[in-house]
Amino acid sequence: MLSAAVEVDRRDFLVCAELAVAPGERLALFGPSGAGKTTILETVAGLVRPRHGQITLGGRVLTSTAPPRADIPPWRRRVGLLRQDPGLFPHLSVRDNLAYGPGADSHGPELGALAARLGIEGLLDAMPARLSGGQQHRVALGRLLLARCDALLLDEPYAGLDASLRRGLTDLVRALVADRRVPSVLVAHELAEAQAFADRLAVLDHGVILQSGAPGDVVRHPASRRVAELVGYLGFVPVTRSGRAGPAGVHVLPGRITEGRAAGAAASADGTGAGYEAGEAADPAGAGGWAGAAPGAGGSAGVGGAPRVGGWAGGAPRAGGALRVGGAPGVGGAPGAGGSAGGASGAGGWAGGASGAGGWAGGASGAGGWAGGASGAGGAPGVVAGIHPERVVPGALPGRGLVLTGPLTAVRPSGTGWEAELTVAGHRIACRLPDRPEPDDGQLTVTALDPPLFGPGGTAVGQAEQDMAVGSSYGPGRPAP
Amino acid sequence: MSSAASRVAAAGSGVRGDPGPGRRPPASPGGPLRVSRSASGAVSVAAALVIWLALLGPVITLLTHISPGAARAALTSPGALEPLVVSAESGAVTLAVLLVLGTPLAWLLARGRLPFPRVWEAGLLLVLLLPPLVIGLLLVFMVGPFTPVGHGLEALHLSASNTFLALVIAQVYESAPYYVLGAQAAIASVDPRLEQQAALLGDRPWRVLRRVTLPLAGPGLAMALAVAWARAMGAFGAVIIVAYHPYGLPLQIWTTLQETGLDSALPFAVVLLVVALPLPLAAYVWSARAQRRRRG
Repeated sequence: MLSAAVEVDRRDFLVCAELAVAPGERLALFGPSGAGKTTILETVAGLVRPRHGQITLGGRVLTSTAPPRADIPPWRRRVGLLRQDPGLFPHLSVRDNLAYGPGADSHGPELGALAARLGIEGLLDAMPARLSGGQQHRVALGRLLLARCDALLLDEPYAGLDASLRRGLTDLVRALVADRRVPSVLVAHELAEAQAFADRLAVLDHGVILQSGAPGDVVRHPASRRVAELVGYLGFVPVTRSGRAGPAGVHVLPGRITEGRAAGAAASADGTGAGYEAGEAADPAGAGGWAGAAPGAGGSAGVGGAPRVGGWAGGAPRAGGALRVGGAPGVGGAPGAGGSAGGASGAGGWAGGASGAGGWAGGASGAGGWAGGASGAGGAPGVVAGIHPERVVPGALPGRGLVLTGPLTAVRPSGTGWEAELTVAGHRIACRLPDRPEPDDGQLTVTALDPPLFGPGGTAVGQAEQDMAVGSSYGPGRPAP
Repeated sequence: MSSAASRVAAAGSGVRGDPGPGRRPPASPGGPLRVSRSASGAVSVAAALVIWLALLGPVITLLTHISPGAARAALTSPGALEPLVVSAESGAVTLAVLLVLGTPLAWLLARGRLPFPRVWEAGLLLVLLLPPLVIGLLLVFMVGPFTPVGHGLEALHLSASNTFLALVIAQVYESAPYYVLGAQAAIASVDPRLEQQAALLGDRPWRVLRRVTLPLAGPGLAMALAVAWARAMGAFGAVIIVAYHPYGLPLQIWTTLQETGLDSALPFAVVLLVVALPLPLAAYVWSARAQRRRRG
């Protein structure tokens, strides 16, 4: 078990990390360059002294700044560090490099067996300068293993290698770590590399571990907007919710959504409970309102797939669970919204932008609340949904996520598929699609699957999923012009 | 010259297996460029050859001008080989001083462990650039018999004026900058991450030094030492002022030249070369072999 809780001074910030890695476990520290990842590894290896903290490895205290103080020097730590530069000793043959550590027999059977496993048995008498990059890494890895390290630290070891070599080496390290039951920590600034290696991923930024968990979970459910940005969410579109927000009643932002009962009411700061109640009140009328919205939506046909809006309004009870961001002003029910107080308060564009807003407004008495909320939003940041380019599918699947419609601004081949970029509510959204997108009249509609939502402070406030109450609806959070 | 250059160019392109200029249309875009490139190459080679031969000229002249009879006479005259012993001994002491005192400085400089490293380096360069004669003059004012240092030495029954000690001091001043700067470069060429790696693999610092740092810096250190040796052997400017006695080889050449003329001075020049060159040559061969071995 390797555990470390350290504070390390760096020139510009303090690295403050806590990690525990079980024998055989593979932890990946992932973060941008300069986040402090390497500093953490070097602290564990004893090359950098922490300001505060304790590091233990398999019951041995390596570093402790609290009494009884300890600072075991690197040569007694038995911690193996593999860097991007494999660091083979150029004046020693491969065999002597492998056998450099204490207790390693340069002609013993263990060396031979490990060399065979690493695929370097034919190179034992070569000098390191003769080896390719991948072979050098194998030798460096073998050297660490023969030195009987109790922990394996890998500092972006394969950054300079091509993808297939990297994959092979990653698999090899995984297998060896499992065999030897040593805790291992990989530092990577590429997510794919971290995911391929680790069974636990910790996202580090500016010296702080922002989130850690199973690699898939961290990427699917980032705990904050910063984590989302780091793990590849490229677009963030504002979404708002009105009406029923469920018992938890969160996601309703002060100033954005207000109580719906008093028509024409100005923005109220504590909208949460009120919004919830309004939703309750609106619900019975809501069905009618939805139905009533359909013609209105149809009336504004031609922008942003009006048929879908109609289908949605009249459709399944769960349809309201879908989030929708209308890219083009006036999508769906523009007349209805305009006829409500929303138009009067100058939020027409915003209200109109939300499909179904008009319908909702028409059906319930809370229309004024909507509008007031919009005008009161002022420009304060609201809830945003994070869009990952690889979690986007073509077409509108309202039950599965956030439907995005907007003009297609760029399209280029990417890998075996296509990378498209559309502008939604002023935000550029990149998405990777299997086939070349075919925009309808310049407008492309895609669905971001289960996008995570982030509050104004950047923390995650949930996931836009199907369990959202029917009747909640979302509009673009663009402040009124 | 231009016709020669184009001949070289034609030969060059023939060697590369290209069609020669004759078979190529004259207006082809690559033609003139290729000729001019080869011409500049030929000029470079010629210039290199000229300067190389010019630099070696004195050695060649020495070997062609020395007559065996005169050499025998000069070398067998009574006391003729004493300066050789003096030079070898003082050179060895000088090297020991440089190794003991200069290597740590070189290591600190190479690893950036000194505050204001530029100031330290500039100091070394200053000594390197001072004319040896000026160094000699200043040494008299610094360590001469009537200075505080001179008095201190006197208390120890030593003197830094016309003594073996003075000779060593003068040689150290003339050779130390060459050694320290060369050794600094040699140590700096060892990647500190290799030393870190060795430590992480279980080596204590002194073992790291023995197994990694010294083997890797060795060839460069040897070359720096060899250059310092050659400088110490040939030290003359500072030596003639602070240590006219005991004679080393350079001073012997100088006095012989003044007393009996060129012909009898030449054999001592050969002796000086024979003493001064083996160490640098050995260092050169060793470092070349180490490099080749590292390449595999």
